[in-house]
Amino acid sequence: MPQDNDSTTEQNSTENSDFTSITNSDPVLEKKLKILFLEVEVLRQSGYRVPDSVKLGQWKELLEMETRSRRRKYLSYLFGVEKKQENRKKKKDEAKQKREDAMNTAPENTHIRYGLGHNTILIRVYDNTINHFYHSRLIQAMQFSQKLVIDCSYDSHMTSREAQNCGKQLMLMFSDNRIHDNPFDLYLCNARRESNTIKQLVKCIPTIYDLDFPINITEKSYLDLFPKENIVYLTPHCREDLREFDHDAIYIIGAMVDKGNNEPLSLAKAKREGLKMAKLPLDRYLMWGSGGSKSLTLNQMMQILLDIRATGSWDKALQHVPRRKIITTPELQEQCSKKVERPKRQLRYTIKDTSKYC
Amino acid sequence: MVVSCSGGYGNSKWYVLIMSGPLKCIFSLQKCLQTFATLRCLLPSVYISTRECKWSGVNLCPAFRIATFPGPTHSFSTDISKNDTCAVLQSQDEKNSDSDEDNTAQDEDILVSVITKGKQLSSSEWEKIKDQVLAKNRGINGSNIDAITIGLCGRFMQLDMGLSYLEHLSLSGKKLNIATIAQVMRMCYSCRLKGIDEQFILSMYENLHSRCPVLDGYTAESAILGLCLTRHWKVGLDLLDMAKLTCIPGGMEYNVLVKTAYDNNEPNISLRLINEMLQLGRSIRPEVFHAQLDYCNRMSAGEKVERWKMVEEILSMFVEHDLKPTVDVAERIRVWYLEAADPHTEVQAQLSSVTDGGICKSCQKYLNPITITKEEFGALQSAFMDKVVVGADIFRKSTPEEIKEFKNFVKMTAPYDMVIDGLNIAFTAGPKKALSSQALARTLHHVVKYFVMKSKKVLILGRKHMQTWSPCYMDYIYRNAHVFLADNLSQDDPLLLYAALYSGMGTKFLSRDLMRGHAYRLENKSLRSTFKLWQLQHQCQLKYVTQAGKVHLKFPLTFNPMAQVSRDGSWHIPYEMEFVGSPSQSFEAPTTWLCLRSGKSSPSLSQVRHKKISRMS
Repeated sequence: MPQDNDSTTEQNSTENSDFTSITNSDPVLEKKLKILFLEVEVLRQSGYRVPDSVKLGQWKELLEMETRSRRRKYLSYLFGVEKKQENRKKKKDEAKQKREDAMNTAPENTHIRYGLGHNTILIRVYDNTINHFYHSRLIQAMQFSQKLVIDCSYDSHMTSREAQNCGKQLMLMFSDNRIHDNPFDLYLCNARRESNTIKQLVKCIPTIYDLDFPINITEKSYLDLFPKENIVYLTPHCREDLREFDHDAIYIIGAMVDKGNNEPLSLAKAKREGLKMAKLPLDRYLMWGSGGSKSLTLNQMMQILLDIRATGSWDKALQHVPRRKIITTPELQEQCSKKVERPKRQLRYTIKDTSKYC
Repeated sequence: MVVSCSGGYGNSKWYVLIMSGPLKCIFSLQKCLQTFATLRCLLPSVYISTRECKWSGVNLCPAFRIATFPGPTHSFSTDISKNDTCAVLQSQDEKNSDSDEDNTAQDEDILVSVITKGKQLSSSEWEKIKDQVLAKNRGINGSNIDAITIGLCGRFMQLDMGLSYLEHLSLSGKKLNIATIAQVMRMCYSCRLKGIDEQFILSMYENLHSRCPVLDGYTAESAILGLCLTRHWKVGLDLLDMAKLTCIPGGMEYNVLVKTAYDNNEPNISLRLINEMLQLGRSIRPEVFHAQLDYCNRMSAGEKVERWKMVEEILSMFVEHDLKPTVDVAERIRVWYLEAADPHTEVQAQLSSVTDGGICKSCQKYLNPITITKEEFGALQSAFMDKVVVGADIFRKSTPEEIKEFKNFVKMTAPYDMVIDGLNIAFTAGPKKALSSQALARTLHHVVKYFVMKSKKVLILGRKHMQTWSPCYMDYIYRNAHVFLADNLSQDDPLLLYAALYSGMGTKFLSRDLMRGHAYRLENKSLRSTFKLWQLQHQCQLKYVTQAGKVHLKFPLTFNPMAQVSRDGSWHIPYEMEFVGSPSQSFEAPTTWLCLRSGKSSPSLSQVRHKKISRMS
C-alpha cells in the first residue's frame, strides 16, 4: 500500500471512509485512487497548497480529472475553502470569548436590561415571520399570476463548477421573485434530482422539495405542461427582439452558465422543438461598453422580467443590467472625438494642397 | 509596451528586460518575429514583468527566469533587488500557470538568499535558518521545508549546499519524506555536470522504492531523471508506465529517457519513446537530436558513408513526423553530409532560404508540392459532414432542411473552381460598423469579377439578409456565379468547407478565417493533419480590395513546408534558430532551410520540369 509512513494526516483522511462507493470496486480505479492519495501527500510535502483533509465527494471529483494541473487547481481551491473555514471559526471563538468577558461585568441594574438583544420597545420580527409573509404572497401568485418556466436541461453541457454556479443563481432568482410585489408563478422543468444544478439548489434551499414550498419543480418537460402556441423561448442567439411583454405568453429561460461553451444551445433546442424565440432588446435601449459580455445571470433576467411585467417600460426594466457593462462617459467621448477627428484630418490635407499653388 | 535596459552588476553585464502593459501588446509582440530575434540577441539574464505578462513572457522565452511583482503594479518600486531571483519556474515544459508558486515565493526569500550565496553551512547554521523561516509561519511548515529547500538548491544548481542540508537532516535524525527524496533526485539531475556519485542516487531510489512500490506522477518523473544518470536507467521505463496511470508524463522526462537510451546504444527503445511522445504532443529537444547523431557516430566507428546512412534514417523521421531541428543540429548534419560525400561527385550542402514561390535559393529548384493521397482525402470528405457540419447536434449550426437543400444544391452545381465566404470577404473593406451595404456589395462584386474574368466557376456562400444589399452589384453576382444563402441563424463556415471538399482537389476557397475551430472538431489526429495540409494547399486569403476594383489575393502555398526528400535524393529540411516547444500555428512557411544535394544535372532543366508539375496540381 503506497502510504507514506511519516505523515499521519493522510491516514486520518483515509481512515473512516468507504471508498468502494466511488470506485465501484473497479480495481483500476482503486489503484488510481491509491496513487492519488500519494500524489496529494507529495504535493503537500512539496509546499503546494493542499487541504489537510479531503472528503469523499472531493476524492470522487479528483478521480475523474485527467490532468495533474486540474487536480492541483482543484486542491488549491479546496485549500482556500478550508483555510476560510478555519479563520471564520477562529474569529467566532474570539468573538465568543469577548462576549463572555463582557457578560461577566456586573450589570448596573438588575431588574431590566435595555438593548437590542434584550428588552426593547421594538417588536422582534423573526426570520420565519418574514418568510411566511413572502410565501403567502407566492402562493397567491401560484394561483393567479403569470407562469415563468426555467428549463434546467442543460446540466450535461456545463462543468460541475458552472452547474454549482447555476444552482446558486436559481436560488437568487427565487429570492428576487418572492420579494417583488407581483411575483411570477415559477416552474422548474426538466429538473433532474441527480443533476449538479439541482443538487446545489437543494444545498442552498434544503426544504425546496417539501410539499408546501411555493415553487413547482418537475422532471417533466414544459411541452407536456403547456400548449405550444403560448410558449416563447428567450434565447440571446436569435434575431427577433422582444418588443412588448405579452402577459398571456409563457416565457422560458434556459438555466445555463455558458462562460465556457459558446455554442447556441438554447437556440438549437428551441429550433428543434419548433418554438417561438425572442431576445431582450438590449441593443436598442442600452449602449454596450467594451467590458463585459452580453450574457446576463438568471437573477438579473428575473428582475428584468418582473419589472417589464410590472411597469411595461424597458428603460425601467433594463436598469437591472449591471452598470459596468454599459459604456462609460469617457469611453463614449473618446469614440465621438475619433469620429470628429477624421473629417478634421481631411480638411487639413486640402488646405495644405491649395497652399502649394498659391 | 516593452522597455529594455542594460546594467552592470559587478564584473558581469546584465541585460534586464522589463515588460509591462496590456496583454494585447505582448501578444502582438509575439507575432513580431524580428523583435523576437532582437530579444534573443540581447540575451537578458533576468526578466522582470507584471503578473499578467508573466505567462506570455514564459511563452516568449522558455529558458529564462522570470521574476514577478506580487501584484499589479504601475510604477517600479525600489523592491526590485529583493525579488530578483525568486519565483523561478518549476518545469519549463509545463506551461500551465501555477499561482501557488507566488505565495510560497515570498516565504522563500530567506532560503533563496542563503542558497544563492553558495557558502556551505554547518548543521547548526541550517537549524538557525530553518527556525527563522518557520517562525514566519506562512506557507512553509515543518513537513514541507525539506523538500522546498532541496528544490531550491536544485534550481540554483548548488549541489554542495543540498548535500550539506541532507547531512544536517541525517544528523538531526529526521527521516526524509517522499517529496524530499524526489527533489534530491531532481537536484542530482540538474547538477549532473558537477559529477554525482551513482551509488548515492541508487541508494536514494532504493529508499523510495521500498517505501512506495507504486509512485505518483511527480515522484516518478523525478526518479526517472535521477535514474538516468545511473546504470539502472531502464527502471525509468517502468516508472514511465507507472506515471502514465494517473497523468501524461512531461516532455522533459521523455527527452531525458530518449537521450539516455541513445547514449547507452538502445535505439529501439528510443524510437518507441519518440513515437509515444509525439503522439502525446510533446516536442523533442535539440539535446535528443545531438544524442542521436552521437550514437550514429559511435556505431559507424568513423566510417563516414556508414554514418551518413544512419543519419538519413533520422532525416526520414523528420519527414515522417514534420520535425524541425535547431540550427546547431542542422549545422552538424550539413558538415557530416559533406564529409560523407564521394570525392568524385559534386555535392552541395548549405543553409539557405526558400522564396515564396517555393524555389530553394541554394539549389534553384522547386520544393515538393503537398501531396494528399486519395484515401486520406476520401476519409476527410466523409468525416467532414458527420463531425463538423452536423456535429453533436445539427441544430447548433443549421437545420436539417437547410443541410438537405445545400447537399442537393452542391450535387447539382459542383464542381467549382473557387468557393468564396461572402460575408468574410465583404467585411474586409473596413471595420464592421462603418460599412454600408453598398460598400459590402461592391467589395464582393470586385472579387467575383476578378475570378469571372479568369473564367472560373465560383460559388458564393452568404446569409439571407444579403438579399437586401444594393441590387446593381448583387445582380452581377447572381448572374455570373452560383450563390447559396443560408439562414441568418446558421453558421456558413462548415458549409463552405463542405462545398470545397466535395468538389475535389482542384477547388480552392477564399476566406480570412483560419478555421481552427472546425479543425478541432475532427477529433482524429490524422484527419486533423490531413485537413491542415489541405487547408495549406487550398486556402486563399484576401489581402485588400480597392474601391476602384483592384483585388490582391494571397494564394496558397505551392510547396510543402515540411521536411522533404525530392525525387533526385536531395534533402530540404527546415530549421529554426532557437528551440521553440510549440508547433507553428500560422500559414507562414519556414524561411530557413537546410539544402543537401549532390549536383550533377543542370539546374535549369529541373526547374522547368518542376514548374509543369506544380501547375497541374
